[in-house]
Amino acid sequence: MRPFILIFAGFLLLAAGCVQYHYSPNFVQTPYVVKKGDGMVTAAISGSPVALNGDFHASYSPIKYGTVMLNYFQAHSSFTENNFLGGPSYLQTTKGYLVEGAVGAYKPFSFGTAALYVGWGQGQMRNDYGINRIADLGLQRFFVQPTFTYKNDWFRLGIGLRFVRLNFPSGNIDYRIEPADVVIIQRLEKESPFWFPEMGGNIGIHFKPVTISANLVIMATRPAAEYSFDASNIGVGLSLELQELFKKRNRNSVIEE
Amino acid sequence: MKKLAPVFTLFALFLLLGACKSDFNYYYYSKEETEVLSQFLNLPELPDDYTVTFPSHLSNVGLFPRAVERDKAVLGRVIFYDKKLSKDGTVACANCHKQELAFSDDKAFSDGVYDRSTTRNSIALGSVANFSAYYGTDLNGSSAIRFFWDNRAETAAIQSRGSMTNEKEMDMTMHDIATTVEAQPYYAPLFKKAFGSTTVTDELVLEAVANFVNAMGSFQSDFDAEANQSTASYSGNFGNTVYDNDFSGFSAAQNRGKKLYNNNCASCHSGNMGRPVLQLANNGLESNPTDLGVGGITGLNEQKGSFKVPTLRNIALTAPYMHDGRFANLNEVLDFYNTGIQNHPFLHADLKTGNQPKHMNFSESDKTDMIAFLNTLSDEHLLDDKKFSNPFKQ
Repeated sequence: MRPFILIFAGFLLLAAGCVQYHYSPNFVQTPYVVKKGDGMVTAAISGSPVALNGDFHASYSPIKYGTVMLNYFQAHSSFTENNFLGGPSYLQTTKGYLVEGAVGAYKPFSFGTAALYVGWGQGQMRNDYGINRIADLGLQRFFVQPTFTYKNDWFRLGIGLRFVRLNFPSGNIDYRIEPADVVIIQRLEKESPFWFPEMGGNIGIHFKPVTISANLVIMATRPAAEYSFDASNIGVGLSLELQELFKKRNRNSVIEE
Repeated sequence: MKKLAPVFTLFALFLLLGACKSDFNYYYYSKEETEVLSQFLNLPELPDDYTVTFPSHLSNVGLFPRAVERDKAVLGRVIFYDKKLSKDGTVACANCHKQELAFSDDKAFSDGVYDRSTTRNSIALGSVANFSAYYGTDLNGSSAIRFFWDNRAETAAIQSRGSMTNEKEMDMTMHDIATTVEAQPYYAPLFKKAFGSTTVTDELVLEAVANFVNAMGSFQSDFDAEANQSTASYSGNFGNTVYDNDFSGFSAAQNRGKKLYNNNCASCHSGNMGRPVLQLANNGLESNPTDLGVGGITGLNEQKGSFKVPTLRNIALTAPYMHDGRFANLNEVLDFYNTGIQNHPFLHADLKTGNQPKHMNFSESDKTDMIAFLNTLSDEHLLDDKKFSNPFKQ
């Protein structure tokens, strides 16, 4: 297991950032809820050729066949650029976040669920080009997401297709940033909102109540480079299924009593 | 599911709201910088684009412009028009290089400080196919094409220094220039944008001016439009032969004039109006020249009486002609090449027949046609392009 972790960590470090970007997809979350009262929380780290990100997810089924979901996504990349002014080199960074909520309806089967989620969220991407040159973009995302999950005692598999409407409603841009990036941002301003699908999923090993999973999301059709979008993310996640956790605790407390 | 209906409605509302809002703010100068700058200057809120693009008929044969740095060009523009940077506060670079004349002067000799007069005709900046653009030379390196009529400056920056420190032009020392620039409040924000610091040095001043001057492309002429079209089907290095063919958008007179030009003038000035074929030549203005031109700098006997060979872009806009402005119009220039070339031991071979000066024998209609062609080399856009205009509040 250890070599695998080391290799993966190495990959993530190599993958982390070398250009600015204005959108990065979070993981397509697939809640493993099959009945009222089920819930889960997930934390994941992900990397791509340009980023190192954090993904946090919580879902809960308050009613039969109904789920609410909360996601928080934090994007980050940084690299050092030689100073074109001939002075010392300087750090360029990308930082961003997205908070979103969704509601969903699911149909449980013996092997898992089929579900449909509708969500909305907003966030910000802030690219710092060094020497106080900053491009700050606000973003809003609406999505509709059918998902399928399969689970048994030791295995989890979830896939989803997220139909995204991505809007950039606002921006605060220092015109001194690279002219090519100004052109890209002006393109975002003009052509936003964008509609596109993202495909994603996770596959995990389950040790009650924990799941260790590998996650992947890919922006399916956008020509990402044209808009400085980060087109994919790959990473590892750790999930806790709340109903199992509480069941275990209850069982322990009964034993203690 | 009914319980979820309000939530779905809320999402739909968010979606609609999101579609309505669009608030992008691009900023370049801070509020404080804008306050300072706007007292003295009319600069656009966002800087102009100074990228130079060569027409395809030039880029196809390997000519390319050097990159201009926008923020330095913006600063260079202000310096170029700033009269404070002369000894008596009356002369800027723009006095001798007027935008409406393709950055030339309509006087044979321009007015310098204290009513002094220059000794040579002002070279039209807009006539040059991006000063140091040739074959990979850069701003601070040696240029294949040199500056001034006697080719004494290697780069645009050195050329600018020459004019700023010339006692008949601006009569400043570079130290004076740097000190004066530093004392003007409007330069601090511009220097910060261009160089990341408000520190002024004479090198940075010259670098900024050179960027501005290098941005003065004049490639939107009728000639370029036709040449682009005519060369579109060729690839690789097609040389001058393509330019011999008639241009479909030219009149018969313009095409005849082009042919005459290619047969009689292009061997020095170039057929594609890119890089001049020759850097210098003795064109027989005088058999015993008092102004030694390039030879006066190099001391070489064979270069005495030789001067820079300019490209002829915007030539119709830049009278008077020659290094001393002796010809008031193009007719006089053609008359000179018709019958006026003087013999000289180092008269250029193309201007000789045997050992005697060549008589080109242009007829009156030939001259009319050639002038019709030379008029196609003008880029009128340059004359009122705001990004090259005087930024100072009058």
